[in-house]
Amino acid sequence: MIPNWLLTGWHYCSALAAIVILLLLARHLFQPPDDTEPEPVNHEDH
Amino acid sequence: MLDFDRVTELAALGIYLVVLIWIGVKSSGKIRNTLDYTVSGRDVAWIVVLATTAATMVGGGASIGSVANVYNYGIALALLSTAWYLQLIFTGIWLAPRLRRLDLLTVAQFFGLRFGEAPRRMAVVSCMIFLIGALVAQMVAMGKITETVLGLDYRLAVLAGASIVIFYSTVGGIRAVVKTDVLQFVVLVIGIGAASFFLLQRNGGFTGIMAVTGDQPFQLTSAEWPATRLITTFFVFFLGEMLVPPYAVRCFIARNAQSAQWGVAGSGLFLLCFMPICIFVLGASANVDPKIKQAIDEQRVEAGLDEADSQMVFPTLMRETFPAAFAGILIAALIAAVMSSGDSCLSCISTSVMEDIYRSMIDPEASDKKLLNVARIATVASGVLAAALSCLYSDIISILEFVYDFWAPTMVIPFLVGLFMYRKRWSLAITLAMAAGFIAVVVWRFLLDTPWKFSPGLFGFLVSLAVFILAIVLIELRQDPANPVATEKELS
Repeated sequence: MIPNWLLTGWHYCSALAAIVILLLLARHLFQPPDDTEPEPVNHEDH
Repeated sequence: MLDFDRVTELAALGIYLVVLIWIGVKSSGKIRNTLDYTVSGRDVAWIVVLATTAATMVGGGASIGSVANVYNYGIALALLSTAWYLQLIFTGIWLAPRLRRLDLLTVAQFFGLRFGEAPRRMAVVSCMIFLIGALVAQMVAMGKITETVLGLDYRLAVLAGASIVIFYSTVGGIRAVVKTDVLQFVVLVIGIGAASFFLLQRNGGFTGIMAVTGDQPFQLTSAEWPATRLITTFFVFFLGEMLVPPYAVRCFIARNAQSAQWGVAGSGLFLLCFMPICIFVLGASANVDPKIKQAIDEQRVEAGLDEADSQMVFPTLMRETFPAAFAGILIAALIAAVMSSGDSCLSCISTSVMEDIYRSMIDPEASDKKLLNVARIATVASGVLAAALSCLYSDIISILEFVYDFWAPTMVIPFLVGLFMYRKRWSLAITLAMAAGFIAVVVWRFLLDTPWKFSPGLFGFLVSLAVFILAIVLIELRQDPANPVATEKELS
């Protein structure tokens, strides 16, 4: 039998994992589109 | 006459379904070629790969099926589901990056690339058996949930749900499937997470639950589920879905190998942390409240069943516990779980018909526009076929057992060999192992009627492994030492 404290800890971890994943997903979905053009590379400098 | 609560539930569900259709229409504008339609232009970020893989993984079986299993048999059945999530972690860490680097469209292409035409064709057959079977099972689940929860006629429920899935999958391809999966993932996580957290607090934690139910739901083994049955079923679950096309495609759509690795392994890790404990809380909570228990028992007796059916426990628990609007969202989450697994199968079937059958065997010179039309027609045709089959065969468990039984024996060993220890000269051994696995399942399941209840899938896998080892021993013994060995490096 699994002890209750372990199940409780697991349940809190699951809530934490859900919050972290949903925040990461929200950050990705609502970030502004990246419209910036890459700067041209001057090969002579290298 | 519908009461207010039922109207609220239907409204929540209706809004959700309209959003799905809107996503489909919006995604259709971004489909320019077959690469967009079949692998989303291979530009999906890792967090989206994680969400779409998790939504695909959590179908009817992992959600309502598992809650009912926990209600009937306790925590062991929640722990059993960890096999699915550990399989995703294994796939993500070791297989996903290798698969992504090959730039494939379908699973069968991998077999053609590594082992030749005969294994490729056998892989097409295996994929089709799995995908059509899994799609029919999800449509049955969709129909049964809607029938039980909303009181709609089963066939009408299948028709309504299938029409929406077929619509957005046809117009928007995998782009629409991925976007709807993200929405379905969010609804699922919020719905299941909030419900389990609320129920655990209300019941006074695990100690409070145990005080009412006794320690029976907390026991790891029971008379119906002894340790041997749990262990063999764990391996069947682990192998039965390994690298099935819906997960393999999640590797193909990722932006790069690292996105595939983080996305697929991350979804397994997240689900391992999230699902078993939440499902246990939901299933155990249904056992705590006598009112809920009585409502489930009344439905069980009415249906003439020995144990609570999968579609009874979760909806009854939600209705008896939460206000109608939230219960409606949770019921939408259940339908989301089923739809997100069904649409992935539909998308994989259309890609396979387009690439593995039409382009490879019928018209190799077909233009991209023509292939896109073939894929769209295949989506509609396979969706209609699956909806029709789901009206003829409605036993979800037997359909899923059937497809699981045929997948692992024919596909898992070739996949692992092709990715980790590839030798060109072993192609014959792979062909023999695939054929032996298939025949072993047919004989064990249909001719011998599954002796000692030993899983046909596991039996077929062991036969396939034995034939493969025997064949490579014979090949190596006959091998001319002067013959060069084709390594993975040479091939790529």
